[in-house]
Parts: sequence; C-alpha cells; structure tokens
Amino acid sequence: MEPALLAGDRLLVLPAGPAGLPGLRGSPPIGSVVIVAREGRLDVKRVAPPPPGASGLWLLGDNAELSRDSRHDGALPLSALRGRVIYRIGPRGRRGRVPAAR
Amino acid sequence: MKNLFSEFTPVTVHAHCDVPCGIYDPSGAVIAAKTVARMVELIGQIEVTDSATRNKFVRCVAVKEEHAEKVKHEVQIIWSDYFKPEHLAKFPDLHDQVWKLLKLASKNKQNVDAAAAAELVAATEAFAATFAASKA
Repeated sequence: MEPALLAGDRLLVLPAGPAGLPGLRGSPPIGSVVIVAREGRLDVKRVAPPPPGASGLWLLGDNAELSRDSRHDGALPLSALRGRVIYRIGPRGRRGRVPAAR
Repeated sequence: MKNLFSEFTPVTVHAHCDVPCGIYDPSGAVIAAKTVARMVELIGQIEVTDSATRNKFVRCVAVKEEHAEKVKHEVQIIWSDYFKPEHLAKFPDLHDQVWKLLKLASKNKQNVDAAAAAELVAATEAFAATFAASKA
C-alpha cells in the first residue's frame, strides 16, 4: 500500500460488519482504504471500481508491482469487510488522514 | 489522546501476500541452464569402457535431467508468482517466451544436443533480461 501506508503505520479503523457502525453497512466508497478478512488474516487494500461482470469488493494495492489483490483472486464478498481506515495515528510524524483517493 | 488510543487493541494487517515478499531471482535458472550445457559437453567426451566410465556417464545424464527440470521450476515460479498483468502489458511476448523456454528445457531432457543446450542458455538469459527490465 505504499506510498499511502508504510510498514509500521498505526491506523484508526471504523469497524464494519455485524458489530460495526450502521454507516458502514453498505459498500465502502471507491477509493477508500479498507480492512478485509482474507484467507484467515487481515489485509489492507484500496477499493477500486469492479470490472464489468464482477460484483462485490474489488480491492487493489497501491503498490501494484508487489500487491496481491483482486487482479489475481477476484472480488471479495462484502461480508469480508472488517473496517474502513480513517486515520493514521502513528508513528509520530506520520499522523494524518489516509487519503481516500489514490 | 494518549488515553483514548490505549483503549484500542491493535491488530496487525497486511498489504502483501507472501513472507518473504517479492524475493525472486532468475540467476538460479541461468546457472541450471549452463549446467545442462556443460553436461551435454561432458557426455559427448566420455567413452564408456568400464563400470567407472559408465558411472560417470550416467551421473552426467542424471545431472542434465535434474538441472533441466530445475530450469523449468525456477522459471515457472517467477512467471506465475512474480510477473503481474502490468508487466505483461510491457512485455506482451512474455507468455510465448516462457512457453518456448520450457519446451526447450524438455528437449534438453530428451536429447543430448549441444545446439539445443546453447539455445536453452540463451533463452534463460533472455528471460533473466526480461525480469531485470521489468524492475527498471
């Protein structure tokens, strides 16, 4: 997810899913950064417009060269969504909003 | 703010798939291809007269077989795991290049052919050059 996020960044996340916030029950906006559960772990990716014929969450890493994402594995169901990243709380000096569009 | 953040339990999220991530190197394939070529050369030089020379001959054939397979394995890993769709846009003949290389490796298993071995070395070096160009 470089350059928006770097390894070691601490993120504040609005939780989604059954226990999540009502505002997050729909699809997250295109361009937002989300946390999803995938293959037993949590991934952080950016929401992209799904290509024709695909539905659900189409997620791409900002660092396309190294990212493994929907280009390889297709869309994820909305039920995989765990939260939306809203703020980078650390490390010191990197505090700030996580830009919504790439 | 400090107290607020201490109320949250941090969890780790990932941006990449593999650990270690993005470590690929075609040099293993190039060395394996050169080993195949060297074995073809040695096989042509051995005159089998007794069990000792027969043993040497059989070993060279076995090493040729093993390293031709290694070329296929190493190239396939880089092809399937490293190269991404945007690389393909940049190198549209990538699939064809790999397909021919893999066939060439099989040909070197089936035969003792110095020309085919030289072609395999050249094709593997060309693949390594594509890999290097994709990082440029």
